[in-house]
Amino acid sequence: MKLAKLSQVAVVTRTDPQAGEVINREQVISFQFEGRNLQGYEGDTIGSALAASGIDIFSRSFKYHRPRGLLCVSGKCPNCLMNVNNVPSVRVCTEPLSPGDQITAQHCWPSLQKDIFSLIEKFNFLLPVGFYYKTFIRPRFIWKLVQPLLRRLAGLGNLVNQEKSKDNYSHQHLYADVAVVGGGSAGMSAATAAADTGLDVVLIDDQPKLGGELRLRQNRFPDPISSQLKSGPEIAHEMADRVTKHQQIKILSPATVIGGYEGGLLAIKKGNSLIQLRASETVVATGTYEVPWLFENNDLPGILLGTGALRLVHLYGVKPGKQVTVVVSDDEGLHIAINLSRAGIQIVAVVDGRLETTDSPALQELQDLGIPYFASFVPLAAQGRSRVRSLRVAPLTPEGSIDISQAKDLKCDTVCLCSLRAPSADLLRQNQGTFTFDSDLGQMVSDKVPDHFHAAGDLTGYRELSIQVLQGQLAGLNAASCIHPLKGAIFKSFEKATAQLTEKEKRYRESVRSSNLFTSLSGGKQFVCLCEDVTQKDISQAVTEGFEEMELLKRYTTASMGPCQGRMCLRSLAACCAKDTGRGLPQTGTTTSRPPIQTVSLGLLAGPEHFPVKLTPIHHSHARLGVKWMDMGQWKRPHTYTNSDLEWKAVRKRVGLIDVSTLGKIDVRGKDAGRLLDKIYTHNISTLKTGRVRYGIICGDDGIILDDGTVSHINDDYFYITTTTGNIDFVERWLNWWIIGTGFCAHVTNVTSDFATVNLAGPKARDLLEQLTELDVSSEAFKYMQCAQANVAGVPVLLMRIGFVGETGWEIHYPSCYGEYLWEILLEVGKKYGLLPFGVEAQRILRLEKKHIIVGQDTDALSNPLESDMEWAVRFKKADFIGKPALTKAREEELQNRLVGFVSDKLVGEGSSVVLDHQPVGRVTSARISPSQNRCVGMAWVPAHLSADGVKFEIQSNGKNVVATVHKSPFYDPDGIRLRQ
Amino acid sequence: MLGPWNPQKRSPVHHEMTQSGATLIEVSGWYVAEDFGDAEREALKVRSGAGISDISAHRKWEIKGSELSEWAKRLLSGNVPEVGRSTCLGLSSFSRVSQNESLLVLGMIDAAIPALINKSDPQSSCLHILDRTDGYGGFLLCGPRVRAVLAGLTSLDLRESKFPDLSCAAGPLAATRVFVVRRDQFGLPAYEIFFNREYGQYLWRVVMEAGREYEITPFGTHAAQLLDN
Repeated sequence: MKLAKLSQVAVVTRTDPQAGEVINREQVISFQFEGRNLQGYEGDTIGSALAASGIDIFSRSFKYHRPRGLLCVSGKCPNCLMNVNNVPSVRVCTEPLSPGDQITAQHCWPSLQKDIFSLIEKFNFLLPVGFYYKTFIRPRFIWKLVQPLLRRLAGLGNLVNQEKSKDNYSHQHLYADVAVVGGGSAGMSAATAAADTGLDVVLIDDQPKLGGELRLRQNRFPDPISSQLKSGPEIAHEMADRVTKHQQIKILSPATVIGGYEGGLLAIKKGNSLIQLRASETVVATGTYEVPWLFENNDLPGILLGTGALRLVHLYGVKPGKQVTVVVSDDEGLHIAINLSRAGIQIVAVVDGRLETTDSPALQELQDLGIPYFASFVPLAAQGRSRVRSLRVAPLTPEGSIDISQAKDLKCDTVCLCSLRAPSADLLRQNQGTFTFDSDLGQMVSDKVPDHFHAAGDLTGYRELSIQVLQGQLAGLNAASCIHPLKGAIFKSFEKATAQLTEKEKRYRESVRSSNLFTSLSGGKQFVCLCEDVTQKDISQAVTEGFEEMELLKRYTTASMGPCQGRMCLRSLAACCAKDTGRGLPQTGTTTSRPPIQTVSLGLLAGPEHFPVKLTPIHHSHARLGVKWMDMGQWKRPHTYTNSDLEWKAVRKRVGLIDVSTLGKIDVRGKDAGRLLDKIYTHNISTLKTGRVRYGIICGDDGIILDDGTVSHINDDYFYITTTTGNIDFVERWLNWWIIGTGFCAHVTNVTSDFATVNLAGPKARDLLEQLTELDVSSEAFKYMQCAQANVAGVPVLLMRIGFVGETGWEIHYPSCYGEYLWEILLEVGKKYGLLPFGVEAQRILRLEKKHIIVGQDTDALSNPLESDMEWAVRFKKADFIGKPALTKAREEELQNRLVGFVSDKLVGEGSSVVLDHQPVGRVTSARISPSQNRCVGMAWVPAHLSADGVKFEIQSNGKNVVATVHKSPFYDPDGIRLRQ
Repeated sequence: MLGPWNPQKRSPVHHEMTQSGATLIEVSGWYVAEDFGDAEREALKVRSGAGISDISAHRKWEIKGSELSEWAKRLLSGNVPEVGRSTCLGLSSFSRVSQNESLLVLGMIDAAIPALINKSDPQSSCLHILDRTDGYGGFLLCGPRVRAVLAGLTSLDLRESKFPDLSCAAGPLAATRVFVVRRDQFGLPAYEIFFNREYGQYLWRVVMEAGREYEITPFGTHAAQLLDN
């Protein structure tokens, strides 16, 4: 930032300093727009700085590439979307200006001023409403030609290809007793009232400063507390001060509620942070916004909403134009014209669309200022190319029709539309709140506020400060009373405010005079939806074609589906639909409101990179060996240390060591533990002697294999089971489910994290183990499928003699705090036996040579033990187990498919199809080149008639057919002699 | 047989601590961080912002079963906390996870409780007592700004009014499931976070990242002593 004077161009577009302006005129900020060096003030938004620099055209429209300028100046409409520092589609009217900002236009070529694509409007006959259903269909090739072009033309902005986003998104969780959405007079009043009862309150406002529209009103109001006459900014400042200093109130500003969800959850965007706020009660004081009037060329730059003009003037000291016409439909509009005039803006005319007008203080003040006033006139058309040059207006007849013969042109470069207001109601509507039109108040008002929600302020249709403050106070107290009863002075203030509000609302209702008219429905292009370039004529055409319901109309015309999400057009869309269908507004209804209320970046929704990673207790020892990692779910596992052939050889010829800590491990205890496992496993478990291990299969009611693993009987009522890595959570839930169902006294604890597990296997495994333990591990004393608790290298362990890889070996389960210690001892002592650590790849080859299945890889959601060649693991004689009826029935029927082992001369890919007569009839589940067999070995699902030993079948792999032969027995050590040695 | 052996216990964040410059000392067979270079600075930063300390070495027992209440009455002389609340036993804490589940966490030098546990006779009842010291890693998050750090990582309602001292809850933390015990220490808000050991390194890094804007610091036993004085 540097201290300097602005360029001459900027100076003439700035007003004199305004009370309540947010810019610092002493601090100048330089930035670039379309390659031009421009300047603004500290506190400016990019939009206000551009407007102050004389920029009229801010964007080009979606379909016709018509020039668009500032409209709402509050981040709601689509007219100011630009690329800011490589971020596309930023609403520059609310984006704070920073030194060095690089701003470029989007959706135009070669420039905003002269966009060649604006020629599209000349061919609009090719783009009628719903054109994608109607045009470019015949001849058929035409769509192929047109589609790429349309693809290039569609969309707003381009993503810059960044390898890694510089934005750092975060997610936050917040809780509150009461959430107040909207920081205007009603919102601040509600927050204070609720917080005064001792509750935690979070106040969310989408503007950088609290105060809402009150900050824009320079006319003087009675202060709601002192009754002294003060300007809007003064009152707003005092109210904001009270809120800011309140200990119980947390303020999120600027922050936007982008969605309301079940259970009082509000999603809030605050910068690059997505805040999930859960509040017991929510006060909605989100206010209203003006509905753009429908007349010909109503989208020309220079036409902006009344509050937008006030924002430019009072917050940023920017003149919206040199000659301004103000279109009004109530006294509020007259006040806007007066405000602008007092700020030094030349008002060339006020066009009042009310059929009947009565004298009011505002009207008197307007006339005192000498502003030309056109009573009962409506705008017909705006003239100009890149900015308004004049506005054609015409009087209303006493019957309410437009007398075009009396039309006249008002020369002006700016038109402020202070017309009908629509409530900012998305949050209530997303929670099943409904709205209806109140003809007295001239606005849609809520007729059903959802449970745990409270509405206050402009939203309710009452646009008077004292009423809004009272409404806010009551909403805050009502919210508080839903959480705890109001007592003492607070309860009395509640009663008093209720009585005051009723009286004030009654008086307001009697005095308010507004017009519901916001459409002249003349000729030419009258834009209903600015985002999607949908005109009033398009709506009529769609209704004529039968799209009479709002939801259908929306989808067919795409109106309300653009960046503003219907905020600028939904009310107009409903009015046009009502007119064309001859229905009233209540019968016409509206569309469903869904989050997000405002466009958000995908990065914000995705949030920070919270991808949990599980590390085994031996992880860092592997890392030191320079291992190649593989992901297995959330686990990191060693794929290979050197290469799988070497590792395979170590296991088969000497001794190997693998980290299998990822195995699921469950501690099952209790006097009914055996009965429980009998129920769960297809094998007998309760007969398993202490110190023995048994392989078991878990099936579902339908007999489908859910998981497999070992069951070790440690002592008495204590069993220790292992599961496959990915199924541990399921098996734990499954066991607990059956404990509840059976009422057994058994306790299940997932102890996967508690134990490191390694598998020491190979002909030299025993020699190595003997060096580390006093336990007798000879084949006579410690037989295959036995287990024992012992000390190994000073560590208490559970040894299980099992053989997944088909060699003499022990699975060693030991406390995970000793993970690295014991692993490294085993490696060190194992050196003299030629020990190598082996990874998952070598293990897969080793187990495949033994035809040991992996549940989930070799089986799927249709595999039962009979088809999987594992009937030996099912004890049909057992009284009961889960899946027994289904398996008994399956046994009586002919099996359709079988899981078989096969050998082939060429390696086939896992997942390849087994084909018969060129039709797929099965699939390969596992396949590897076996070093012991020197050919491919694998497992595959084949039709039962192809499952006999020695039968040849074909596998289609990589586009070629490979002949495979069924191999019933294990490929390596078929009799299991090595396991038992 | 070879030997003698000298087994060393390592916490799930052993390597994170050494990378952070921890001076490790041995306490009850565990490697524990004494300091991370400057204990006084650590204590000051914890006092003014947020600190994280590895408490994985604390002994932890899971006690569950329908007769938990009766058992706890004997252990706690009748002072059994309600579900979602904890109670202190010297340096130890007993947290009631649910009606039939609890977590007993012992300070490293608390020797009396194990004797009590060993005395109990679960065989006579449907009660399950399991030492989970190795299964659960633990962090102590402490300091005036630590709640703000956690707000970015968990959806648990940790407001003072809803989660005061000696509250406990199971819930999410950075897409994992953890058990949180509010146990204020050194006159500061403090939360003990217990998690499945395999997530140790991940959670340490996530908490350090979330706490960066609050200048979170790892601290050791020396800083804890300074804070205690």
